[in-house]
Amino acid sequence: MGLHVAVLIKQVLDPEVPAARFQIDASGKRPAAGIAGEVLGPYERNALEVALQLKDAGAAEKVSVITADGQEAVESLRKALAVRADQAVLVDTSGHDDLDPAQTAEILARAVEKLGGVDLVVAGRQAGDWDHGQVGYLVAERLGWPCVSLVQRAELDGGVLRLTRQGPDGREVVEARPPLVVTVTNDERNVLRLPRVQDLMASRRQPITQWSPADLGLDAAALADLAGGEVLRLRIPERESQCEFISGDDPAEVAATLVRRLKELKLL
Amino acid sequence: MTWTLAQAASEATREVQWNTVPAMIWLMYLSAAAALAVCCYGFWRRLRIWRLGKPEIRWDQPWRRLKLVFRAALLQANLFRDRIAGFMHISMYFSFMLLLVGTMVVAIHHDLGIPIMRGYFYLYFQSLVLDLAGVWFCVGLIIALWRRYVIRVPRLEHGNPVDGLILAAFFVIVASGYPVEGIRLVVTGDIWALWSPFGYLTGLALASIWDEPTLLVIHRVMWVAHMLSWHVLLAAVPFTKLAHLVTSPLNIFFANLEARSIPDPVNFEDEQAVAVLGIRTPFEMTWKQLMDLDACTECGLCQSQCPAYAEGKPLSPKRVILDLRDHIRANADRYLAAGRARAAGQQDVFEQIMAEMPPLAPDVIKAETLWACTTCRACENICPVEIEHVPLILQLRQNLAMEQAQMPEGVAEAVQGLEVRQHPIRGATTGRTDWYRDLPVRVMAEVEDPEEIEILYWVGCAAAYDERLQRIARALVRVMNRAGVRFAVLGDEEQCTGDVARRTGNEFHYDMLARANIETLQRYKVKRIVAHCPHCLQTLGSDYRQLGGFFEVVHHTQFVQELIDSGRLQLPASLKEKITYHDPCYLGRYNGVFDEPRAVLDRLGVERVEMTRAGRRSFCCGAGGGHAFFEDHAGGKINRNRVEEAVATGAGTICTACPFCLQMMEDGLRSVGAAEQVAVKDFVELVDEALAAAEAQQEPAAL
Repeated sequence: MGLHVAVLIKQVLDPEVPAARFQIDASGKRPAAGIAGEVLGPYERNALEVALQLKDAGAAEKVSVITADGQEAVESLRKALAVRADQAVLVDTSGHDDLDPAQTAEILARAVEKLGGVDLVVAGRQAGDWDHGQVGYLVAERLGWPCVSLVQRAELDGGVLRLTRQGPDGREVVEARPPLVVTVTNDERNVLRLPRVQDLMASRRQPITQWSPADLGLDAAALADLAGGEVLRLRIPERESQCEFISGDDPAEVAATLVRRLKELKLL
Repeated sequence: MTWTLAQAASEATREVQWNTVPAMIWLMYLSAAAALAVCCYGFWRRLRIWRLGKPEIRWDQPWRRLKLVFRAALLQANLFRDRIAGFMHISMYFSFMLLLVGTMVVAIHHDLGIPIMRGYFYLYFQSLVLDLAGVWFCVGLIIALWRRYVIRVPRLEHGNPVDGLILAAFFVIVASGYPVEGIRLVVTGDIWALWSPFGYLTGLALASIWDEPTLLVIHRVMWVAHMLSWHVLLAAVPFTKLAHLVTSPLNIFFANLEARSIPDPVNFEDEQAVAVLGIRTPFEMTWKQLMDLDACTECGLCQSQCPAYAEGKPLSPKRVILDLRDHIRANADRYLAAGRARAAGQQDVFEQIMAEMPPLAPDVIKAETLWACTTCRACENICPVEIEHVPLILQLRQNLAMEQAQMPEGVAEAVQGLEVRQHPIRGATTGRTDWYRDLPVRVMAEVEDPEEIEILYWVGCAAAYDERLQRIARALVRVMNRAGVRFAVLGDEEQCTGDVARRTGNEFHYDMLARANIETLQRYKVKRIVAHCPHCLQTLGSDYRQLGGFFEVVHHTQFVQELIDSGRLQLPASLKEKITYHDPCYLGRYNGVFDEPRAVLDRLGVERVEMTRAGRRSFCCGAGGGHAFFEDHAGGKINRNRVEEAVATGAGTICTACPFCLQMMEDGLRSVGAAEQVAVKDFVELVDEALAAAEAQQEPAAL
């Protein structure tokens, strides 16, 4: 019997949008899309690949992908189906904007429970937008499962998961028995595979399982109670830079002028 | 005496089958019949393989096609692409044809009993011309042997050992023909012997060594050798490179007269069409693509022009064609059995047979071979028999990229960029519209009356997102504004044309982008488009036609020339620089624009020097076919090769007319340490500089 792996994903604003084009919306609390499209988060891509590799190796029997987001996230779920995830679940949180990590973790943990039979939860180390880096751990706590963080590769060996993780001085190998939560960081060997075009086309027709927080036993009030923090204001740091050319007839003179200017600016 | 000689000459002929016994004659007719049968069987097998391919109409405009065949086959017009080899080929070809006609004259005269081999025709043609033709054939044969075995011309490498046997058979035919003729002339005391000078000389030489009974024996041996070697050669035609006697003219007749070097579009709405993407097996090739494989003469001209091959990368266009051909020939029985099953509606049998056959890419043609191609068209441009290498390579890439999801990392990233950001440039630090913020540029969406816009300027992703390349777009905007051109851009509505997707086999992404762009352009009823990027020019102007997008697209070199011709732009002849112009593949070979950029440069007053490889024979910069987006580590650097050639001209500036070429040239100059001495500029940057300098001179005068 192979494992049932649940991958927690998040769709984020394209992190590659040029910094100069980053915008904040009218509320002043969240980024505005502007020219940025939405993509599957970078670490979630690695997490999905780790799960798919377990499936390729015959260690996993089923890979389910879960996200808590609005309908627009169906796009990323379809991307996961296109690389042959077996099931996609959207917990539609439309109307519950600005969920914080605690709220998100509660929703996702309940979704994992509702899914049933999950042996391994794989999450990205942090989402590519807010970079909180908490959801994976909070889900583990909520499920009461151990958590291994910053994993790069996973292999199953006789019922034991052998997890290679990035340590401060190199690589560590951790062995753990499911059920388990792991958070994944990037590595050259867990770059998400490309979809075959036939699978990409088929993914458009595959069903997406849709739940609401209420289906998970969470009404608006219960969800609000879970909030651990609130964003008051989001600002783009203002950086000013000035450029001054030091000229001179020869390098020695340029150097002397440079030193004098640096002293004037009290940098030396 | 004169009168009797003339009378005798009008009666001149010779005895056919002199000094033969009936067994020899029987052997001749039997072996001729057998050879002809084997030859026909061989071509029938080829024909059956071609019929496995997908349908394609290649017989429209028959007169134009016949003209092509006439020029290429009968006049050998394509052969002068290499003078020595061309001379070798026309020598062997024309003399062989003459000798073949001579043989038929004998057959008509002797077997049909129509006495045409007589009189002056016999003397001038059948004796003198054929005697000289034999010598001419020898000249060709010697050049061929010299090229293949003495100087060992590189492009002939990977030759088939059988190729040598063909030359040997030719040698036997010629070496036995002269003694047969000569001995008859000498022994019968033929009064017309001098009309066959080389045959007569051979006869006299042999007669000086041997007596008559020996000569008669030698004659019979040589007669049989001459006849049998010719019949063996005839039987071998369809199985060796000699097949090109038939397949090359056919292939030229069925040449692609339109839309060069682009693959057929894929209908992604059609489930049958997407069951297999690109070419996985011979069944996804068209009959013409299968015929291409058999039309190859193995001359290797393609290989000699291929930039990837020149830099030691694992690609030879010739090898691609021959490896596919050899694979299909070796497995012909299985493919034919599969074809029969399919025709009989036995899909399960078909699939069962095909399950054992490897995908052509990467099993027969390696992935690194396919990815090494820059799609520069140098191979197709030089091929004397109209083989289309580029669409074949692209469709094999399609199967790798779309069905097997295999592609170089940089290509994958570029394609993901297209999906998310509608442009392939990684790490862009600006948006699509930032480059013109401080310039008077109108955006189509904000134009009240699109009718008053004469030109849509298609900026392209390279110049929109790359800081260096933005200077090209800014220069073109300034030039157009000086000429009072009413132009607009699409701004954020512009998406990548899909060139990089299409040339890397990612037809699915190309299809999405192309359809979106066609929709936008049609919505604005765009009449005319100017692009400074030859890749955009090709895609918008040619590729989009396949999807129903018909737009008039001109390159900025053509447009500037037009502005000058119509008097809207006056160019000062003030640029006193030594410049060499690098022809971009997608501008030159793909779209035939060679003269306009040169004409404008000349007007600027520059001293223009040409590289050795220029115009149609221009050498690729190395960026095409998606190579601008990935590192190809095998072998050397194509741009370095090109830059060394440019630097050797002594020019201070390399002018090009493609943003990707410009990047490649700049990189190349840095790699050879010449970036300080030689500048790289786009064509329009030079035009803009000259105009700006002229204005700067005028202004103080006006004050």
